[in-house]
Amino acid sequence: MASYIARRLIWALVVLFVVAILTFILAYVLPADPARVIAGAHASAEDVARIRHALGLDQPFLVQLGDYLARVFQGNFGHSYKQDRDVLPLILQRFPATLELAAGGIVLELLIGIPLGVLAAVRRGSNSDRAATGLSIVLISAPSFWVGYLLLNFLAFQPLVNAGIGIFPLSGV
Amino acid sequence: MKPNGIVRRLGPLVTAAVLVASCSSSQATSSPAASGGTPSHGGTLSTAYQGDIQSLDPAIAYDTESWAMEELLFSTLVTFDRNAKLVPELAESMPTLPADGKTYTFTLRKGVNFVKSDGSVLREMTADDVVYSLNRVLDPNLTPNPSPVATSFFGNIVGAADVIAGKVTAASGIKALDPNTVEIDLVQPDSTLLDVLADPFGSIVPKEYAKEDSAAFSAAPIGTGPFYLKSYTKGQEAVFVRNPQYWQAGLPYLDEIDVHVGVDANSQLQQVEAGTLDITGDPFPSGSFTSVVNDPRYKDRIVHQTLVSVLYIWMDTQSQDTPLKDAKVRQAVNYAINKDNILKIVHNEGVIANCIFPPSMPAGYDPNCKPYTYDVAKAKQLMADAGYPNGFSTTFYTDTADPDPQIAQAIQQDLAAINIKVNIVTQEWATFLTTAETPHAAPMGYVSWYQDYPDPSDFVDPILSCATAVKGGSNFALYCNKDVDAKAAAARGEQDPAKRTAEYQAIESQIMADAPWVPIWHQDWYTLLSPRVQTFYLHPVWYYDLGNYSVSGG
Repeated sequence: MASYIARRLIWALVVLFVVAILTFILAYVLPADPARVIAGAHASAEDVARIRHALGLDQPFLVQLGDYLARVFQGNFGHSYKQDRDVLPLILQRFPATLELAAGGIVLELLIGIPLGVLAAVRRGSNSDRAATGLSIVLISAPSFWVGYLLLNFLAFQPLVNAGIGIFPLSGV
Repeated sequence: MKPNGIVRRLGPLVTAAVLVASCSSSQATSSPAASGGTPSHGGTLSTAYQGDIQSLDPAIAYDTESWAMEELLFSTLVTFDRNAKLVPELAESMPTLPADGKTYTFTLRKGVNFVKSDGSVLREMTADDVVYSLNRVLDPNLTPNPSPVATSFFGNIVGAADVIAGKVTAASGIKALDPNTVEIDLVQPDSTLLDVLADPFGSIVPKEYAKEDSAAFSAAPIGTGPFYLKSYTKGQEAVFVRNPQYWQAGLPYLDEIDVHVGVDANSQLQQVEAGTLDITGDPFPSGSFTSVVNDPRYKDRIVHQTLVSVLYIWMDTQSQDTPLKDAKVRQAVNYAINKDNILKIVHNEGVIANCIFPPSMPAGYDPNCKPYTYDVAKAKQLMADAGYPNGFSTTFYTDTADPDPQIAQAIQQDLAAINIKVNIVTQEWATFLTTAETPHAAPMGYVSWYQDYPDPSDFVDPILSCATAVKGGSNFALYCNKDVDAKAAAARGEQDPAKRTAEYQAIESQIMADAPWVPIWHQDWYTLLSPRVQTFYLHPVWYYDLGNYSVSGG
């Protein structure tokens, strides 16, 4: 079990690493010029060039990627220009909510999944097995944002509008 | 700079360009309460924007939303009054104009204090702070990035180039002669120095607080303005509180200003309607524009103003693969465009641009300029004269944001009438900008220019000069006329306002004859007020002059 968890954790790191590189490449290959976006449409070519240089955006691609990864490994995720704040505090600020959502999701998943799985196993080949398996496949395959909207509609919006029941919030907690 | 959230954002940050309007064309008054009477003191005013305040560091922020906020927190040596006229602020009086046009001396107002975020006095402002603040804009080591205007706005100050290059930390041309006197020396005579100093980039900050970490100063800004920042929760709300130490007696009127962010334009309208918000910060959503403007209930509560801006078509005047390099062809395009029709697409939210300079910019606007009026026959004749009776094909670039694609389609139809076959390419703003500033990548396109300050030089030097007809420059037409360049340099240094205006009008006529652009329209800025707003006007440069407004029953 311990080695299984260790393996999973290592693979999770690999996935994060690859995602980080892909995201970096994506931003790099976009035809828009980040230095221009930061400087503003009115900045002169000279001022844009200074900003590009100050941010290291005039370096070769591999140097930029290396710098980026080196900073990430040191816990420096950079600065969000859109929000004028460092990225790490922004992530940390939202992390508890993500954790809460994930934990809640896992609890629900277990509460529904285990009984259904047991049912399917005990009554193998029966209609209830087929129904449980079918439902699982449909829900797993459905895009989560779509399922999310359906849940919002049927659990939060409809009860609120039709019966004034507001157990589930429409947004936020 | 850029109008924030306005239809044509200059990008997430940028977003901006500038703006506005002024004196001559104020078409609506504020709420009925505003007429006459002395403004009430006290009360809280609220406004809302979709986007966050990008930055509160005056060396960095370059969009109208941030500028409106910075005007609350900071003061400048000179400033623009509500009619776009330059007036003294931290300087006791306007500097006397030097004979050679190169030396400006400012005597500072005494007893002006920096205020901390609890309303207490930090200390008195001195000439050293002025010297520090202006050098800070030149600092190449500002993080996360240097100022976007160091070279273009401040590069003409003696010694600025050395600071920008990192060779020294202070420009020799910015001097504190004594604790109350500052001298600024220029390399070339340039009367726009005062415009630059009046922009928020010229804000005076305390040297021990405003260091090279721009994000840190933006989070806890300290200035000498009429308000101080009490709190700012990103994505939610900024609260500005009246500065009890403000040097101007009896001002400001308001006790507090609440700026809500993350509120879309529709919600802004609904909230003003419901009475929970006083001012809509962003333009009305285009889908509701007509109904809001025509709603009799809002008749006295809508204020609008023509911005100091121009929205135009550029044509690559040095095009290698299209006939657009021929001035006759470009003139034909000018005659072929039905501007009235385009103005209808934007619900008449502005006025037709006859030439380049907007009517809201008194220094330069020429009511007698000769426009190209819509005349398809004349356009066809010019095409034939130029040797293209059967027209040609070309590509036309525009931003993806509404209503630009619809405007491009109208232009496409107009040009089809003179056999110019236009293939429209729409690109997301940042990509579009990169395309436009890559020489010859975009033979034609539609874009806007909003002032940095209300001076005609800002409509010539940054966008229609040889120096900017380069990769990364904003002269998308690659227009380069050495004669115009020389005249523009002379006009920029001219000290006599009447002569200067005449010189710029001559420059405008010459550019119009060369026809690198089709000027289309000048945009109006609209806002809806709650009935409790008492003193209100739209400001020519920062749109909202929040610090000077008042509410009834305050």
